Amino acid sequence: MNTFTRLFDNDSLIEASLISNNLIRTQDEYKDRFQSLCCYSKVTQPFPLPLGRTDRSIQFTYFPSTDTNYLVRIAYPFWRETEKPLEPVFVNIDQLSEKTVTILGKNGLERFETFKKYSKGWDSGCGLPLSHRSVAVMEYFINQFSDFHSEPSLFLTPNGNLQLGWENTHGQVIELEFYPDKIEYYIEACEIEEKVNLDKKSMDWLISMLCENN
Amino acid sequence: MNRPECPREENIVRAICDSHFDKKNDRFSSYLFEGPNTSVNRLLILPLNKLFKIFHRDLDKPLKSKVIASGEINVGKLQDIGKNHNKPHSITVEIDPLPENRSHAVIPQKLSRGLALKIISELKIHYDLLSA
Repeated sequence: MNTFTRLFDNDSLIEASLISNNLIRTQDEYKDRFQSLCCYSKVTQPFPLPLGRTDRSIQFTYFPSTDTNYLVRIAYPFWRETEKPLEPVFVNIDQLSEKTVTILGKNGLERFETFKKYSKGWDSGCGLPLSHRSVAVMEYFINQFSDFHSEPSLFLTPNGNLQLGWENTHGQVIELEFYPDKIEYYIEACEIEEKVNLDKKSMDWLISMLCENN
Repeated sequence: MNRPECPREENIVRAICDSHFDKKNDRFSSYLFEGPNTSVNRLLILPLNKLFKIFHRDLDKPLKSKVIASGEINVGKLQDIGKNHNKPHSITVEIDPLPENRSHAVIPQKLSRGLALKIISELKIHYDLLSA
């Protein structure tokens, strides 16, 4: 079983996707999977509304009714044993949390809203649209690291990923690109340019590197 | 196909779009020069005002990135930055004229983020007053 977690800390509309490599063929199959989600979720009311289904995902929307934190665990008991388990992933989101908006400021929020409108081919014929998974990974990062000395800059890369850039107290550049399954980073202070996966150990290491060189 | 190299004495410019440049905070994304196949333009062939017209014609489309400036650098300086980087990198600018832009050239190499940011820090930025 693969378990995917994400902490939501506001009561705004949240969209998430149950991602599966398996085609969901029947209502019963959907119901089974959805119930497995509810089993691992504190949120049972109001009832999530299925928005649509594709051969790779089911989307649902719910409206948290209080301002308490929700830990949503999306469980996947339906993987075939022969399938290779995925690395930890995060629910797709297309809105920034209040915390992130506070960090990025009005300018960053405006840039984010602009990037959301970019269509395929935005970068000289190349350029993928903004990846909602990348937004989720950036949110996940900012939930763990928010010690920016100045307002960071938000960029969109041709891969459809969000990128943050800022300077440490010595004016040296730090740049992070949020891929759906990893974070690539550059820290000028130690001339390191590498990538980390999204598992806790790797993330802790990245955070400690950033704190040391901030 | 071997393309002729742009001489060290020449200056080139790179179109800068809003996706890669945060004007308010005066910061650039390394993607501006990471490549591979970074498009640049030779100032010897076309002046800046004509290049801005080409940039807007080719790059400004609805719901896409918009050109807000250009960055100029000398080819020799660009190559020296590569050579003197902590991980030395050979950089070439290859002449690649297009039917709609005869000043077009290409930097074929894929550069690291650190090297790209060093190059960006040496750019002379020209804002397009008409796009403001």
